[in-house]
Amino acid sequence: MIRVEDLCYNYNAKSKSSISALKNINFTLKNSTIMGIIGKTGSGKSTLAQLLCGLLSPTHGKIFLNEKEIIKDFKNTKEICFNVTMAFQYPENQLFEKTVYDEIAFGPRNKGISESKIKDIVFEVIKFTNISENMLKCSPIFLSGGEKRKCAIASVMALKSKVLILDEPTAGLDCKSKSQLMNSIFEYHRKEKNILIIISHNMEETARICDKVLVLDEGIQLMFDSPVKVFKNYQKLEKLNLDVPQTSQIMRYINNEYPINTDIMFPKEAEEEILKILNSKGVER
Amino acid sequence: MGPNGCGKSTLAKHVNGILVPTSGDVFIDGLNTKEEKNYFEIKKKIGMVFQNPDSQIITSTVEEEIAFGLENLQVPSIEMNYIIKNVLNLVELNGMEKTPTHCLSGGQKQRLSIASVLAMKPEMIVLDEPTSMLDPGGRKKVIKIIENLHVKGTSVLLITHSVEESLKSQRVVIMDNGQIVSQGNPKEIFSSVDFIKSNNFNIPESTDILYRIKKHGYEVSLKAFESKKCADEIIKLLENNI
Repeated sequence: MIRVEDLCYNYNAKSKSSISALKNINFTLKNSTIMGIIGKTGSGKSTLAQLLCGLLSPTHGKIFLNEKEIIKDFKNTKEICFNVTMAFQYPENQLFEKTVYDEIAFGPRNKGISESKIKDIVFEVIKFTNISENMLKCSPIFLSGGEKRKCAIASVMALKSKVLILDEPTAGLDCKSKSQLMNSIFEYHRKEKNILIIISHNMEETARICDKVLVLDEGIQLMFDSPVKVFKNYQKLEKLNLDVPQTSQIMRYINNEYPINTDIMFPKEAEEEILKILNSKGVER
Repeated sequence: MGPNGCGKSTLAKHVNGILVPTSGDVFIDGLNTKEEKNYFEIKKKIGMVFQNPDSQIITSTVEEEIAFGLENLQVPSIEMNYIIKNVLNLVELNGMEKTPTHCLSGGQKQRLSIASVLAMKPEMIVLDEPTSMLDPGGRKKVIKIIENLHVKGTSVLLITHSVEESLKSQRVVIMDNGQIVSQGNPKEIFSSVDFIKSNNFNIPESTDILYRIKKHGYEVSLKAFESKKCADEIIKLLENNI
């Protein structure tokens, strides 16, 4: 469980040019939840992520992981690093080991796990991410963009942390690789039952997989609720220049003329709802 | 358009001579990119914006960034100031001449790289996934700028994964495995859901809904790509009965 209490963060807190990046953030995440963070660039998403994994320490307020405070003093930094892991945006730029195997094994090795166990972990995570076994001997430099991304995500998965933070995991990938990667992340989550935090600009994706959505604007927590409730506030979101899933937009337009359920966010549900109305009206095919 | 690794960026790099063909030729206004004497002329005609603005921005302030290309073209400094103001207006960064480049947001950086290319007045601009790192607001702004450029007569070659973005173009070329698999008017190409599915593109949800309704035997057009048009199409269907 993660509990964030009254969290504030100022860059350059002690100097005059202090910039407030986060103001009074409060939320609680139960185990095995998926949370999406949305907000425009500069809204504090990445700052929050860095606070959660202990790369920054709060100016004010507290973060608890399983009732234990993160960064009370720097003695437990190492523990946090293994419990809360993060893949940065464009993680493929951080690949540096000689082979894909070593790249994935890097984290567990630092954790002090025995080589035989590491081997099991590596083979387990490559199954999730659809990396073929022959690829393990390759140098990560020679992989294609999509493969590099998979390799980078596999190497954070290998840490088996309680909390996994992904900063735009699918940015710049084509649609097939996008849905494959999302599915593998989801499968991993289902097995590990970890807390998954995903920063994304893709509202359709956020609506589909998240249990909770946190909306940030200029460091302020605007909403923290289920996707249905968040995307109902479309006026607020559009003011922030954020999109809503296209389906819910279409349902709203229809609702202007015909009463229809506007909570619907996915094409499949929309199909059922529209068919129901067409049938009840007896529209000819 | 096309999947990762299909050769989109490689093709784009051939257009302004960063790469030269192993066989075959690329001509820019009749100038062959293989001939060294044409390099300068070709680079002047064609501007290129890359996916990640961080890999393109090299100076410390916004103004210097735009001046860099102009200095290389030996533009007099009075004229330079005028051009800088002008292009910053175009990309909505007015008044930010002295801002340090590392203080810009991702969207602002991307608009700055577009501005510094525009300052050199290219006849054609090549953009390699310029919106993939931006939030929806920044994305819309960049697309608007590209549309305006086109209205003013600049040719635009845009690499993208987004069907919505490509619908604004006059011609779309689909690539796979280093080859062109299909090309033509985007509205024609993307109204075929089977084509989109077989090429693994993201179906706009509007098309998806209409396609699902159509499968049940109702008469709807699949060429409604915007939310409003899609809703109108369904409302029309509902009104049929009255």
